[in-house]
Amino acid sequence: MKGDRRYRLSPLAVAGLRKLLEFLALLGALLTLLFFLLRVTGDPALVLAGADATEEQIAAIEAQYGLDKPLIVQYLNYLSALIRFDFGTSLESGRPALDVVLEALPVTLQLTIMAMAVTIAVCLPLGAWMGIYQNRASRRVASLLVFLAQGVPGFVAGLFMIQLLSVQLGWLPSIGRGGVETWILPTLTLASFLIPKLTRVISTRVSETLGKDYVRTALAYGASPRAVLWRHALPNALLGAVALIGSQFAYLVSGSVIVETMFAWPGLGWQLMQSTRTLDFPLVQALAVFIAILVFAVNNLTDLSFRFLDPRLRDSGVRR
Amino acid sequence: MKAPPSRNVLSVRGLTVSFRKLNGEYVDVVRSIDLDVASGEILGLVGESGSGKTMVGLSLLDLVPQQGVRSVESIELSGADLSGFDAKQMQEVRGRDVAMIFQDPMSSFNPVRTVGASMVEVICRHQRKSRQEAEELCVDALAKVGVPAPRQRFSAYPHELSGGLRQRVMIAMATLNDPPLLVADEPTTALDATIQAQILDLLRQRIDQRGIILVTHDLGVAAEICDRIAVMQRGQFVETGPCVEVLSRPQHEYTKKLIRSVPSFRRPYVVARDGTRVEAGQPLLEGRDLSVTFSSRGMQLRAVKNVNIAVSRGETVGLVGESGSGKSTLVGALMGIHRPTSGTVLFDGADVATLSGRELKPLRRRLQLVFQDPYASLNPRWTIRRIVGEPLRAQNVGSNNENEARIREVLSLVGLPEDALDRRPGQFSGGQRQRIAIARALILEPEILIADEPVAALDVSMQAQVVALLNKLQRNLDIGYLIVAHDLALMHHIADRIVVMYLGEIVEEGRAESLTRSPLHPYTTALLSAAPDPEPGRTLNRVPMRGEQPSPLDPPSGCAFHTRCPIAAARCREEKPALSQHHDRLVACHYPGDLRLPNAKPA
Repeated sequence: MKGDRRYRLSPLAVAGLRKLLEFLALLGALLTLLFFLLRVTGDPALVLAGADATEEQIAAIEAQYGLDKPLIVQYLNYLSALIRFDFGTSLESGRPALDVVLEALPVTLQLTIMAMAVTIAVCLPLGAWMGIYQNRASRRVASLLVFLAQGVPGFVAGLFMIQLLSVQLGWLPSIGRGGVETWILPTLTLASFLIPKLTRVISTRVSETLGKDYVRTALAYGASPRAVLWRHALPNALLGAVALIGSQFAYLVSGSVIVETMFAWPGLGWQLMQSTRTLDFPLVQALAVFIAILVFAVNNLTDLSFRFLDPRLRDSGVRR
Repeated sequence: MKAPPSRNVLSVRGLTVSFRKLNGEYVDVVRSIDLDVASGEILGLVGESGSGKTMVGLSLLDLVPQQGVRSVESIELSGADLSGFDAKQMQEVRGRDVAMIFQDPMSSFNPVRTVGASMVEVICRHQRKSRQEAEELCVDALAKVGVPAPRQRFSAYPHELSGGLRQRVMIAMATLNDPPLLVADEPTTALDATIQAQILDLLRQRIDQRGIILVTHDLGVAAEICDRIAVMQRGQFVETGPCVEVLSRPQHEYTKKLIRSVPSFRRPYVVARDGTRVEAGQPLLEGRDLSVTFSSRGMQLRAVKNVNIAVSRGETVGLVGESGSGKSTLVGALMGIHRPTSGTVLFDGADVATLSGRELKPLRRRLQLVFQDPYASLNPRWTIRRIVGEPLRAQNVGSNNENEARIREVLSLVGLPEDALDRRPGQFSGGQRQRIAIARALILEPEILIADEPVAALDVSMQAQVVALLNKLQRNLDIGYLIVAHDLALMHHIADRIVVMYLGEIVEEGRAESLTRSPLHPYTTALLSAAPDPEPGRTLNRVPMRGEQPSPLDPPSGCAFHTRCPIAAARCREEKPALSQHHDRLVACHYPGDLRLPNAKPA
């Protein structure tokens, strides 16, 4: 029954392969859906040719981009090109779609990573503080504020910040990407998407962890409250936070569409917005592929780091 | 008995612990108790759940939960009065002058740190030692409590150790700073009887000049190792005295009732079975040559191996064994929860495996299940009416009016008042909840009832009530019971037949009194000698059983028990003994009856 041992993969490799296959299947489904959805929303030739184009001009454009062929043929051409990693040419700019995406990718990465860093820098201390001092009045006030903040949509917070810091006070530019001063507003806006939620999760985790039996054990053996917090409660509480951070990365990427559009940042989100508006099919599809890969990669890195951080997941649980 | 204690390690006067209720009032969970522990003495703090015994232990360390308030006249520990100590001073005391051993050694260790790191932290908190020295001390301590390969175990994570090993590590950790007082809060409650016996012996060995407070709900455990006992009820000591004295001549009514409720091999149980015991008749539920194998990651776990078992109407079959012996899997196979890998399950002569879902449904009516934990097995959002009536709805029987009448009838049968109908599980005690669970199982008038540890989660007085109920129902309704339990003393009183399992196989089966009086398989003998018994005056000679149950993933060759058997011979390692008739018993041993109970009279 048992397979030849030499050809057996480690459980981790098997799990990884399965994940990858799942992802490829999901990606295929996504691209198929996207292909047909985009085709029903409008004719890109009309957009490209402009409002006062003649029939002949439109037909010429359709022929140039292969838009005159039957839909199923277009679909098959598109798939076969994809397998060769050929994303086609952007209808709008005439440049290879891949080039546009690879230019936008670092911009978005920079924005999300900075936003994530700000989020963690705010949420960890704030959440831990709220988790420890459950009964203080100041904590109750903070908790109420966080709760209210969670109800404010991210773009409203962004508009508010633009109004205050850019329009009223004139401290920061509200548009474009350049020096450090242009990074501040987009980063803060994107961070504000996640801060309330993560703060509340960390706070709950910390207060739960402080009620655990092993915290009582540490106290019963003379550990000071500070040692209990740093050595026992926080490491365990943060395990849960890591999982949340990973799963929320996708949320940040979707948030970056809003933020990049608001601040005219030339990242994936902004490109996605532009290309959808102009029905630039090849570019939309290329962007979708890369955003999917990005989210998949981050989620799996989180899973991996979780395996590394939590000894219970590190091995098969065989007792020594 | 040891020499009279020379000095007190601990003297507590006027200890009160109050809890603030939601309405702002205070309720005393411990009421002005006095307490002395002498050097070299084990004091047992015995009581049922809610008696306040755990709070006494925690309040010595000033660790009562936040909503609690401790007030005390004096706590003298080795001459120093702790009652006036501030938070900083108490931190110094904890782990150095008093160390605590907690109940559940899994949740009591930090899961993301190695047990070694936790131990080193305890040393470095109180002694000036380098990491290297601390590590050596820890490995030493682990060796002293009988942890095999201590240096490897030092760097193990809690989940990598078995329950018994974790509790040994906990005891090692408690003794690291050589504290004069140990407080052990239910240290063996989460463990199997044989492991419990090992841990109790270990506590006894490690006492030296220390004092130990053993908090326990189990009078049997207290009887095993305590020198003195304090019986607690509603926050007060109702009776205190030398262990043997209290157990053999209890003065207080509550103590008497408590002792009566604990099953013992050597006196009648508080719930007497009337009439003679039932001889097994035509079996109604039968497992023939049942095997259940689980596969995971290419490994095969043979949880149940070629087991034959039968239950007929009106009889009680007790299924005993340590955790991991395959009891629950066997029950699952009989219930149709696990599909047997080989063998057949017959109900009333019909092979259950060949029946379709529709044909099975009427059979399910005749076979019902009661679970161990009445806190987890009842939906907290449903009313009792809905919970008890659910099987009727699932089986689509009766009109609404008929069903309402049926629910009321069944509820009165298990002794619950009618006004219980519209309440929810949260408003009932553990014992009452188990009655509700039994009512739910009875409403379809089953012929066989399978109960997985039906009383293990209950206090002894509640246990007795539930057992009495089960007896009455069996008498009136002629139900056959298959009861899974670890408490052999209880089985001795309520079962007609006992089946003993070890590593997925039946090792001995026979009539209850005969099997518990003169066990033939060494494993049965060891289980019996490990079972705590509240009757005083029992010799402490246990059958020495080495180590723990081997992993069912890698069972030993020959007789599966040979690795722990005190009388194993060369033959046992090579040749597997078959389950065969021996006197009135079925037993799987090459040398049946060679290992006697240490305190049994020769037959």
